Amino acid sequence: MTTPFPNKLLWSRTYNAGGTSGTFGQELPAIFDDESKIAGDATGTLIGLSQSADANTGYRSALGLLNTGYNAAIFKVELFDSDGNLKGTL
Amino acid sequence: MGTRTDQLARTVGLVLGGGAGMLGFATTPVHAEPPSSIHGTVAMAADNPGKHGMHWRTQLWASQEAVDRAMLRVCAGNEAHPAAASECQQFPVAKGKVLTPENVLSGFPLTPPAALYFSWDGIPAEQGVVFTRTYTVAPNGQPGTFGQGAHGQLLTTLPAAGVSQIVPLALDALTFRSNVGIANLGSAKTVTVRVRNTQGVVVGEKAYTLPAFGWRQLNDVFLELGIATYSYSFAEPFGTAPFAAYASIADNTSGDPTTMPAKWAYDAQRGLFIPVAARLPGYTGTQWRTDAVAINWQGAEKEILFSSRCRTGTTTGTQTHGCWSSTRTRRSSHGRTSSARSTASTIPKEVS
Repeated sequence: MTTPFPNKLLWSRTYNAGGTSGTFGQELPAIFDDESKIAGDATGTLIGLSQSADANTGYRSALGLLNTGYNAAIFKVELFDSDGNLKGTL
Repeated sequence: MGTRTDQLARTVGLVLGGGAGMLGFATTPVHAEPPSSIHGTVAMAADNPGKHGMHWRTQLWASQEAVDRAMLRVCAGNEAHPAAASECQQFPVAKGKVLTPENVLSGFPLTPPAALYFSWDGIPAEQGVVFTRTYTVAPNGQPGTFGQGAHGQLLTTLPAAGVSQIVPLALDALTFRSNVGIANLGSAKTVTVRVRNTQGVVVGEKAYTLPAFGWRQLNDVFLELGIATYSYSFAEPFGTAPFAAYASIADNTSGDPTTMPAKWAYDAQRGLFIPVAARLPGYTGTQWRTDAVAINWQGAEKEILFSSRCRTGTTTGTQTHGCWSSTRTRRSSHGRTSSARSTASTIPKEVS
C-alpha cells in the first residue's frame, strides 16, 4: 500500500481472525519509499530469528523480501547463529 | 542531568510507589542520578503478570558488526522508579555475535513494566542493532507464546519539541482496548495526551508529568481520560522533547496486543509502503487479513490512494500483471482518520 501525500500517517495490522479465541497479529510498519531504496551493496541485519527442529514446538522464522523499485533486484541472504558462525546462504 | 527538585521528586515517587515488592530499598539507598548519554529506547518492556494468569516478559537481542567489541548499556525506568545511572547494566557485544539476555527486566530493581533506555560505547549508535520481543504464554492453557517485536528507537529519530506524536487507537473500541505509552528520554517534563475522534475533534485531554527517564502507560486511555470510547480514533501526545510514544491495542478476547509506534507530520511528499499485507486462509479455519489506518494530519482534504502489488507482479497504473490487485481511494480531511480493510484481497498465498 502506498500513499504519496505529505502529512499522511499510515499504520497496518496483519492478524489472524476467525478463531474463537480472538485475533492474534502484529503491526507492520509503514516505510517511506526513500528509506526503502537501498543503493549498491548495502547490508541490513535482522536479529532475533529462531527455528525449532520440531515443527510442533518452539519457533519458526519467515523472511520477507520486497523490491520497491521497478527493476529486478538480487538479494543475498546469509544466516548466522548467535555466535556469528555462517550457517547458510540463499 | 535533571534538577535537584526533579531528583527529590523522583525519590519520593520511588518510596510512595514502590509497594511491598520494593521494601528492600528502604535500607538500600538508590542513586537517583539519571543515566547520561542515552542513545535510544525500547519504549515498553515487561516482567509482570497479565490477565488470565499470563506473565509478560521481554527478550532483548543486540548486535553490531563495526568493531571487535562494543559495550551496550541498558537502563530501565518507569514512573515510580525512573532509570538510574547506578542501576544500568553493561553487556559486551562482540563483532558479529548476538547478545540474547532473556527476560531483561528481571535484573533491575524496579516493579515492571518499564521502558528500556540504552546506549552504545565503542560504536556510533546507528551501527548497533537493538531489538526486543515482549511476549507471554497464551492464556487458558493454550500452548505456545504470543507477543510483539519492538525495535530500539534512537533519540536522534524522535521529533523536535512541540511536534505532536500520533498513535492510532483501536478501530473497534468495543472488542479491543487501547493503551498509550510514553517513555521520557530526557529531564522531567509534562506530556499532554489528547484523544481525537475519527473526525479529528478533540474528545478528551489530560496532562501527565513524567520524571526524567520515567515511563508511563495509560491503560485503557478512554477510561483513563474519563471519556466514552470511540472507534477509529487516535491519540496525540505532545510536550517537550524528547519522548517516545506508542499505542498498545489489545484484543479483549485473546489478550494479544499490537504495538503501534507513534508517527508525526512530515513536510515532504513521500510515498509509504507497508511491506506485506494478507488475506488468505491460515491454520484451523482461521483467516489472515490486514487492516490499515491512515490519518490526514495537516492540510486540506486529500485523497489517499491505497494500492496493492502482488509478489511477482509489475504495476502499470493500477493494473498489476501476474495477479489480481485492488485499488481503493479514501478521502480524508484535516485531522481525520481513514481506513481500509483487506485491501490486498485475493493476493495469493505466496505473500504470506
